Amino acid sequence: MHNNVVWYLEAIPIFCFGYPFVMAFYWMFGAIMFWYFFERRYNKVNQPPRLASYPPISIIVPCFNEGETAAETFGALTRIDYPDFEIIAVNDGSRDRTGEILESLAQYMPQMRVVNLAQNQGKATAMNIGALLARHELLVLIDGDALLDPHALRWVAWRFNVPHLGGLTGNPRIRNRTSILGRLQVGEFSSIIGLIKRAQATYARLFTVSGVICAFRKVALHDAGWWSPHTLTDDVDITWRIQTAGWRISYAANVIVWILMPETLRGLWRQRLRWAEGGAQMLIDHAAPMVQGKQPTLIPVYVNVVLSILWAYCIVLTLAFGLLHFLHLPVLSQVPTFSLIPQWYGLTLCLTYLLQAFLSTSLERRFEPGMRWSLFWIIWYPLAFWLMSALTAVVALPRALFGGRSGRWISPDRGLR
Amino acid sequence: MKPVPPKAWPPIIEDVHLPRLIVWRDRLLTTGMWLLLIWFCRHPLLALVDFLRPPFGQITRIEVPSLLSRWERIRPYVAMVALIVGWLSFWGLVTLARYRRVRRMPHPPGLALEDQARKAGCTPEELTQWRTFRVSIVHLDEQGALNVVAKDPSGS
Repeated sequence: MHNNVVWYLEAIPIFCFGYPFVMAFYWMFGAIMFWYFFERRYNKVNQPPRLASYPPISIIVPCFNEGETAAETFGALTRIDYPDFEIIAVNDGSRDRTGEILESLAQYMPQMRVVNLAQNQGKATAMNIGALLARHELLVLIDGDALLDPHALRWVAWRFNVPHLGGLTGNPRIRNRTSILGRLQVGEFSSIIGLIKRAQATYARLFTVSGVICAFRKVALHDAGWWSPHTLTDDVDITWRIQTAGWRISYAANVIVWILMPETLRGLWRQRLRWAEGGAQMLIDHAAPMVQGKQPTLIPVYVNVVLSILWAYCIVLTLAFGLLHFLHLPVLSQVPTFSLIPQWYGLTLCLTYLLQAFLSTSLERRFEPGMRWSLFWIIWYPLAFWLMSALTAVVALPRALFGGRSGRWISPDRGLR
Repeated sequence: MKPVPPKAWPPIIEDVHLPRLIVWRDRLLTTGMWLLLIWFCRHPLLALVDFLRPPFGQITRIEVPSLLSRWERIRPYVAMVALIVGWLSFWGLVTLARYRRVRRMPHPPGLALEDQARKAGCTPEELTQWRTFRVSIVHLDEQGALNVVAKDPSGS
């Protein structure tokens, strides 16, 4: 076999171990820096800092077939502690009783308005219309099944005290933790997502806001060209366009929303596949601006996404060859194969991940007492979720390259309730 | 329908009834995974126990694979970690300095009503009026321009 090919094949296991190992320390160190420079000085979530003045805020809640959850979502908004805000419920042509329910809820909530779209337009268009009909400059967006913390708006106002901030992403926390999948995601949202967001905020460039809780200045949205209806993950897309337009986006751990997550493998697969496909679409859409050097500080974040997809392909490839090897089927001797039983490198990665999970629960426990208990379930994460992430990334890339480009509502699996 | 605020805060859902069999299956499988991890890590764990027993600080009872060879194995990755962490430290300090510098700067003006109206495909007066409707119906034309009508004839 040609020397170069052998070299590439030999590099695959090095990359399969090296990429997650190095990045785990990057996320951990970045999160510690973010905590040290910013977060450790924050008050408790229920004691937001006082401001000289509170800018008015519009909360936009795009809804599609949310009849089952609307009363609870808007019920949580009745507890919001903020002097000046309005709520805009955008009913995007729901096929259930959402419109009727929203209108009856509005009778009990004087600060609420209901915008019914005559035809279903997709989430991005629903958010654009909600933003245009909003009276205020600061917009907070939550999903139709998410419960906003009563103090969240005060924290949003406090964070937007920095003039160069165009948007921020909040801290979604999992409500449903009945099954093993639900409990795993409690750990995942802090140990992976929380750490990554903190580290990226330290670098001052984010891969994505969480669509379920984010806030923007209208002027930043305008500069970015508003939400695009031609993308699967509107949150990833708008994050990149706002940053490319020169605005900053940051992470606000104290802006909390409680969310429902899938608790079936099928639901989880569909959700992760959509996320992976959205990430791949972003890679394609922003390849030209990256090559042209329009926003050079975003290049490291972009390269990381490329590497993560490459890692997924390498992992799936080596595991597939490992399986062939295990079944005593013929495999070329130069082809790297992972043993199905973890060896030294696998164990090192696993222990690194557990260290990461321990650190994250230490940072996150002030938002949720008893977080350390989630560590018991996290043992599944390296095995189950890494494999799932790798598989979804492998499937998502060709779909993003050759599939359609229309954003659509996905009816989520909302777990066991 | 009235809004229904969650009865408890934080609104965590963990009391859904699951068959006892599933609950215990999850617990046992997870405990099994932890035990498996401990089994895979038995050599370093035994070495650690030996290290902490008298004579303190020496590994005397256990034969462990050379730590030096393992360090050699992981050294290039640790070097990479050091490099990338140094890089992030630099940018973290830049972020902090920028944050402190801009904190006292004036805020950008909000988006002008005219720009919003242009995006909505209407006049500023129309947009201002639409924003007073408690319940409205929005029609979009092919160019994406909005036409908003109050659902309740009394408007606001």
